[in-house]
Amino acid sequence: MKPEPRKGAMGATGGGRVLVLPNSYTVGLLILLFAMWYAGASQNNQAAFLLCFVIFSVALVSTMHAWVNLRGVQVKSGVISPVFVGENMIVPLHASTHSTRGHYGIRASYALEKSNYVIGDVSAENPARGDLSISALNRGFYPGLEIELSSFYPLGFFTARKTVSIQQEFYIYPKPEGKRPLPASLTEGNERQGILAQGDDFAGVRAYRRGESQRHIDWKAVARNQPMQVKQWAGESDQTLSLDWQELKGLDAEVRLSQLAAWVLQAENRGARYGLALPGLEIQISSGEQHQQECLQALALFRFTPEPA
Amino acid sequence: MIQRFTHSMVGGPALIWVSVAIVLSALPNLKQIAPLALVFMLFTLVARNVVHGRRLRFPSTILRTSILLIGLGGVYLSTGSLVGAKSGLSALLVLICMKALETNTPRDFQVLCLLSWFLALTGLFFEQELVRSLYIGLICWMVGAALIHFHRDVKQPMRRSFRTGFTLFLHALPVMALLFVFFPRSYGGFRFNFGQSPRGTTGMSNNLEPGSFSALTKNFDDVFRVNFPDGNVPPLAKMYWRGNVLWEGDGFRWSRGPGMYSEPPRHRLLKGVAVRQEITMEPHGDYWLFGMDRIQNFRAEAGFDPGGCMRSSRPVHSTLRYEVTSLPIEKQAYLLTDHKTAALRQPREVSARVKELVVSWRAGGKTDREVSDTALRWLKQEKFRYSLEPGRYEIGSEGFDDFLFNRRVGFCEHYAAAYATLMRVAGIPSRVVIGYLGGEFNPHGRYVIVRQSDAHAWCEIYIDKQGWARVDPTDILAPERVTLGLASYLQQQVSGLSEGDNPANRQFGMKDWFRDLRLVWDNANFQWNLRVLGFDEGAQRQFFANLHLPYGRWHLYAAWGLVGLAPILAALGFWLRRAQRGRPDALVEAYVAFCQTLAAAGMAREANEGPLHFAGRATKSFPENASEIEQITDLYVRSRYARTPLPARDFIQRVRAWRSKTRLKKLVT
Repeated sequence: MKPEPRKGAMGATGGGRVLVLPNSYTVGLLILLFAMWYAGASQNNQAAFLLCFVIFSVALVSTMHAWVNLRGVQVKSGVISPVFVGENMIVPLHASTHSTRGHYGIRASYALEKSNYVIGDVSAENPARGDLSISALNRGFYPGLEIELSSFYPLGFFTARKTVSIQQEFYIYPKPEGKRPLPASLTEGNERQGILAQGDDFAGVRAYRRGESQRHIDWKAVARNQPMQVKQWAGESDQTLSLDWQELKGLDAEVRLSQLAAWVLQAENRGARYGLALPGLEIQISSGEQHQQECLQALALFRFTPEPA
Repeated sequence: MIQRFTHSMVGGPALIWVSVAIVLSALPNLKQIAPLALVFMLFTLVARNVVHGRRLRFPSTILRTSILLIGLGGVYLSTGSLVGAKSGLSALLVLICMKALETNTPRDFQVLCLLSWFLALTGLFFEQELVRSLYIGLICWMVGAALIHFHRDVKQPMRRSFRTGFTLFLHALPVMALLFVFFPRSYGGFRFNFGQSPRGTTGMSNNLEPGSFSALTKNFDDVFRVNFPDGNVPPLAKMYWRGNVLWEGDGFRWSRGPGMYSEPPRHRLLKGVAVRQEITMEPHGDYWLFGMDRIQNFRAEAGFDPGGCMRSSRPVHSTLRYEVTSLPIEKQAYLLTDHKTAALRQPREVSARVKELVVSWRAGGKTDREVSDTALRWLKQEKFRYSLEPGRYEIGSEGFDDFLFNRRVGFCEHYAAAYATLMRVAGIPSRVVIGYLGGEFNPHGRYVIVRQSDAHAWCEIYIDKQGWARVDPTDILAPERVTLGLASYLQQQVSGLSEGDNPANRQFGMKDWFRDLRLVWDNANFQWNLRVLGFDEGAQRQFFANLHLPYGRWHLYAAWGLVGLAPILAALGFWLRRAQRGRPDALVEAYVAFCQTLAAAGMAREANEGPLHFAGRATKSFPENASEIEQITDLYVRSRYARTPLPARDFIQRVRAWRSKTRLKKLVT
């Protein structure tokens, strides 16, 4: 079900072909050149002609500089934290270059978004970082994304663009929404409705697992240079829930997934133990940050095929 | 509504330099721009830069509109209109400064720079000399550098942007040169010239007055420059620049006389070696044009006057370039009747003494040629003196006699006038020609500069069946004047006689190197005028003809131009890419090698880990090598990042030693 992550996909990529294209300022430039030509022609003023040609050829040559300016820039991304549909996803970009010259005025944007993020100037000595914010639209697992790099450098009359494939895996979870109450607990326990999370009694530590909430890390131990450990507390809710696809009959598939995602969050918040049942996939009852991520990933990846009637 | 921007996206050096460029663009046209517009300019530019610097509030739309209306209204009130050269320039300045005041976004800045470039262009409307053109080029460079600076995000020193701008200009040179040569100059629309500012030159006039030429000897203004495209440069002493022929004479006063028909070209048979000249004439506001004696034909908007001299169809108000072809000898077998009448018209009164003198020359039935020679010999024998300051002679025959029989001192105009008058008394058709003689040869550009001080007058007499022959009495009396040129002649005279404060002497008594420098500079200016400013439609046609290209097939040339442009740009791109790739410098290579030795021992440097941090980690893992690691890292940092870096050699040697000797001992935990 889960796509194979590409091996060695973390390197920086220089991206595709750099295109240098006219922009709205090019029109302004053409108007200026026409005015200069007219001044030269109507007065028979060769110096005005010469100035017109100087500006024209400098603008023309600037396209080559624009091309080479963007060409050497490489971009990679740090870890992209999973987000829910409708939230903003942060792509931590890291722009670098091997070339001996600086690269100026680099901007990054996501193809579907209008906003630009200014990365700035990049050189071999001073790589640049910047967080590109993209709104998450569709749930799923993504092996990477394509962003567009652009620059107005040097004169602004042309825009250099190139598309860069960022190879960095990330998940977009279904939007957690739905008003259905959590299903009833499978076990009769000391359900402490409304009280969040864990009990009060310290019950020891266990090793930290990647992806878990950092709330309960024993930071004092970390400061003593010991491996990261998580404090555990006795008296956690012993509710046991089964979050089942089948319970949401009659709803649209995406609505069902949203409801399930909302349940997963609620259940985890209450400190309940819960399992997830989807057609063809069953996640065992458990709890914790990692379990929550596992459930949400399953929801993100889920592909509903209607059973033949 | 008050628009409030707490800060603007535009500011800093980029904006300051554009402001400076705007002020500098206004300077050449100070006389044309209304003073109010200049005040407006200073106010808005200072205000805009302060607004940014102090983070003050941007003016609201209403305030901005009011400021604009005040500016334009002021221009209208002070100049009476908003169009035309003067008020148009003022209005343009007001509009551009208004744009500067409200510049807040990158788009505004881009537009402001385009407008500043256009404003700079206006500085070329009234003058295009080399210095002016370079000045305007400098302003455009400033604006370009400001744009480059603006499009860089991390603020670097402004001089880097200036350097990049200059690099762009250098890379643009080939394209620019091709465009300049091949871009069509033919233009169907009307031509307007607001560069008409006739200078009140005190130069040549249409009349010959005693003293008018000696006054010119102190005038060192340039009249014209002559280029010899065929490389055929006659000696300076033979360069009689024909300007005007004076037919009507009365003693010392000569003028052009009544209108006559020019002799038909078939009457003028020219012989000898043709000398082609490209003449660049300074504006003088009159009709005369000059060409080397005798003018066969010319390429100019002009016609022939009677006497074979050129006359422009319109007053020369701006620098004029034309071509003349001359041949030294003229045979004119037939003299038109009215020409003959005019050339023989006697002065109003001739004294008996003069008549007696002339009759004595005729004695023995001498021919016209012999009479002319006798007259010249007589001038020589009677020890007539050639002088810049001959003093004043009375008007009329008394003054004439005073010159011929008493004082016997004069300048070229006295001799030319007197000789021509004497010939007429002797019944020989004669006329006075005024123009220039010689000039200064500039060996750097192989051209001749003719100045007002080279003004000269000479005579022509008509010899039957042969034509008009030039007779220059000055050549007989002061041959050095002709062979050496006036300047050297005067220098010789002065050094021989007295160290008087002669202005001519002061001008020309300069050291040789200074004179040479002046000629180099003059050459630069002349070449600019000739090759760049003079490259108009006519010159372009000539250029195409030389290349055997048909003129006017622009669509074809445009296609070829596009085809030719591609390899130029491709070559530039290729070159830029190579330059960019570069070789990682030896210092970095050595450091990478050092890191590799540690990585081989299990201590890899993270991609974004600084050298100092890495060294910190490494010393913990390899305590035995700690001091060495620290020293090498310290050397690297000081070689690479210090204000005055250490030579890379030391570090490279140190790393080499480290790699060959050191055995890393990892801390066993």
